Amino acid sequence: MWRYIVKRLLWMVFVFVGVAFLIFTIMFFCPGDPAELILGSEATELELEAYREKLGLNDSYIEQLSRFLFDLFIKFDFGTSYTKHVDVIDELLNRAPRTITLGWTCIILNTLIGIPLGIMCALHRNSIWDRGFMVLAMVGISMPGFWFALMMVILFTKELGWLPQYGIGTWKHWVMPIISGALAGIANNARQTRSAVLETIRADFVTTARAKGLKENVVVYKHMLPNAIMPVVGQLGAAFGRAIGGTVITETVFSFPGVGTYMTTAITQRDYPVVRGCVIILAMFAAVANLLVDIAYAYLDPRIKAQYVGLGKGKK
Amino acid sequence: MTLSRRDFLKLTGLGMTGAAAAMAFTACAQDDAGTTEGTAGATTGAEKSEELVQNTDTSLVDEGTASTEAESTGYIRPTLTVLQDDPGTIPPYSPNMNGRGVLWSMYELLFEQPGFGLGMVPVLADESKGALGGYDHEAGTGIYTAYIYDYIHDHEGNPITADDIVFSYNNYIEQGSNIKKWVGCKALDATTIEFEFESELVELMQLDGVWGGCFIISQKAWEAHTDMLTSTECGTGRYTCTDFVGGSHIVMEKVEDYWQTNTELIRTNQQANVQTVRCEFQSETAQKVIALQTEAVDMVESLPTEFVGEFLEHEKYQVFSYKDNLTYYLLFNCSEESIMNDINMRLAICYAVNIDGVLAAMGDGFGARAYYMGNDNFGDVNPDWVNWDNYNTKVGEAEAGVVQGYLDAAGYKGETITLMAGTSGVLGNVIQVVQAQMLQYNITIDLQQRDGASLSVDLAEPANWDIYANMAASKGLIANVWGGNMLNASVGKTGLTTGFIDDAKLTELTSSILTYEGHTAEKLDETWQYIVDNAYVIGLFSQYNNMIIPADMTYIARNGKKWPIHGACQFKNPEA
Repeated sequence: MWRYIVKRLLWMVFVFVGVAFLIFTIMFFCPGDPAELILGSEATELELEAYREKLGLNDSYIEQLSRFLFDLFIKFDFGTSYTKHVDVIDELLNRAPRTITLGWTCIILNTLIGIPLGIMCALHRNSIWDRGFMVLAMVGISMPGFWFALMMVILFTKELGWLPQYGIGTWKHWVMPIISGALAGIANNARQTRSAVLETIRADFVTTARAKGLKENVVVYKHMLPNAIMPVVGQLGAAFGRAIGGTVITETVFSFPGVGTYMTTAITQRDYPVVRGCVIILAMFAAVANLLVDIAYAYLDPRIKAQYVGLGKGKK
Repeated sequence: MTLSRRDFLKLTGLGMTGAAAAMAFTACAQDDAGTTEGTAGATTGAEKSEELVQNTDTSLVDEGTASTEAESTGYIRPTLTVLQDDPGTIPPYSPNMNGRGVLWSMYELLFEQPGFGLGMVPVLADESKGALGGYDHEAGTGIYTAYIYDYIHDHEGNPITADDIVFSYNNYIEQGSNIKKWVGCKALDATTIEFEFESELVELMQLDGVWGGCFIISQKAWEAHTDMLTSTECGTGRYTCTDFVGGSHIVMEKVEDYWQTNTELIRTNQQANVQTVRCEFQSETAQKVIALQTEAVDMVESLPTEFVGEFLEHEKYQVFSYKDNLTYYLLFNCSEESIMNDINMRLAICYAVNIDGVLAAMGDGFGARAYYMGNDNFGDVNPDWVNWDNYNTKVGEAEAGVVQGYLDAAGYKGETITLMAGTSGVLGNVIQVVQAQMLQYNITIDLQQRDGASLSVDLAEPANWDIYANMAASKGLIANVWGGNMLNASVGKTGLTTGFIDDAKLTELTSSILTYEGHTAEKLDETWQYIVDNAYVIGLFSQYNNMIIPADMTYIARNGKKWPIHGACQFKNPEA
């Protein structure tokens, strides 16, 4: 198992280098001159040239890329924001914990609510609960996130006065952003889990288990679920990426100072160091999430576990 | 008759669908009703506020020059909660970025521009010294000498001396700001600073921009704050930052040991009439409206016109609408690579555009129609331009014959004209309306919208566009609006105008009106007539900005950009 984890960790290094290379290249070839955006249209060509020189934008692609990769991976320096004049890493360290906490909490809710709900619906298929929850799940998937967020504000802030409208400070400020961020994921997980369990219910090994006279609980929890849950677990890593992407809307609506709004503003301003920093940090967390999912997958899937355990034994 | 289970489910489903449809229609009907009411109210609001705008602007001019603490109501409001745009960070440089109005409460300038083209008011500069009220200048030279008070200190008690002024300017430039003709500055003694430029600053508002653009900080504070003052603060203003979270909020407290103790020298914008100002950063219109409806905030800095209706007669709020200094316009590409190179084509478009139609499409109370490139906010506008006989004064007339005449003269055969604009929602709506209006004359328009960075790249390429929809502003005079790179070839990085206009006379005129010597009523008239005759640009409208302010606010203090200075606003004393 350790071999598997070490192998995945090594792969992550390549992933980070690849992400860094890609984001640098994409931003490099994006139209737009940061110097002009910062100094304004009235700046003379001389002033623009001097500012480009100061930012190092006059250097060749290779020189800039090398400098960026060296600063990033050797000095752990993400650079300084062109527009905010502040170290990107400082701002990210300030904002990323909020976005990551928001994203992870959404994922945990997706898992803890969505999967049991899907299992329950599948086990009681065509019941009123199944139909009711699946209709709700469809509504949850179809509803635009910002609309749902505003409806919650109207209900919980304006009408009931239970929760703060926006901002940060107390635990109450987290409630609506988390619910609005998690809803689509819960609905999606519930539907996927239901489909996966229904597929498994009809499998031969389940019929065999029942034919052997095993108790229904044993059939469900020991034979059916470990197999049904595999595809759902497999997509949790991608769900983390989606959750982080979705926080842009949540952060905007709830004035939640996270990475999402920071990055979108930076993209329009061609603030290259900020965009690169945000993408790399988000990629880092998405990679870690995928690693955890893969480890869970390997733990749950005996075929993968056997593959690595077997290899380890073989080498010995 | 008995129903099978399947029939029962079908009937239930049908019933639920019907109920959902009915609810949806009801909701739509309610929405429509709300919108209509809001729009009608908004119209009234804009009309009402016009008077208020005039009054407030006048009081700003009068009081902005030499108001005293005694002139305020004397009442200190305990708190003021404001919704505004996110400044991101709060560094004492690049003060003109969106949301950075809060900086004016915490930092101060040598001189401040109180309004549009209204001259300079000394703040840190000691107006009792120098022949020109805080500064000296020998005509014909690029040397300007400023004097500051000898008792200024910042919020951490650091004295502000001439060396700190020099440091502030050097730092301002170091952080990416431009000062035209800048050579340098040096401290002559503890309170005297000499500014040197390549030559005398003959352009309008140039010196105002230099002294009214750089916030002053102490070198000691700058070095003590390792964050380059991006998230902490140490200015000399009436308010100090006690809590700041980028993307969320800033809290400012009144400074009790303000450096200026002579109340006769404290101007309106330097007053502190609120103990605690809390600005929350929120850009979502729906959230702003809900915050107002729940009375969770006292003030919203900007609200679209269609939403102001319900706050016009509100117990807790009043609506303050003002015409901002932005004018939306259409600029033509006069390069040989564009069909708009032909003056007949430009005139055809100018006559075909129905500005009132554009405004009507934007909604009642959205903005004020432009009769020239600018609006009457600017002090150097000739009110008679409204009545000048040119394409821009035609209102709702059938111009089909005139338009067709120009199209025929230009030999237009249905070629596609590219109308380029930025990505703002307002511009998007404007260009769609213009496109529809042009279709009436069989003029084919292709709409292209670009984000800021891509736009500047595309605009630099003459083959990429024919008409450019944009907005122009200035915090100075209308001459500054025309003298931007939109029309003046002497500025801009390529030496060309944005519209690739190669016209020596236009350059001569726009350059001339930008100087103190050439800025005369006759020259301005001549310049505008020349622009009209050549159909280089057509002004469309200026937008109203709606501020929702507390009912007890009696005066809105604003800076030269018309941004509110929250703590300096005045309020009724509830016990009076």
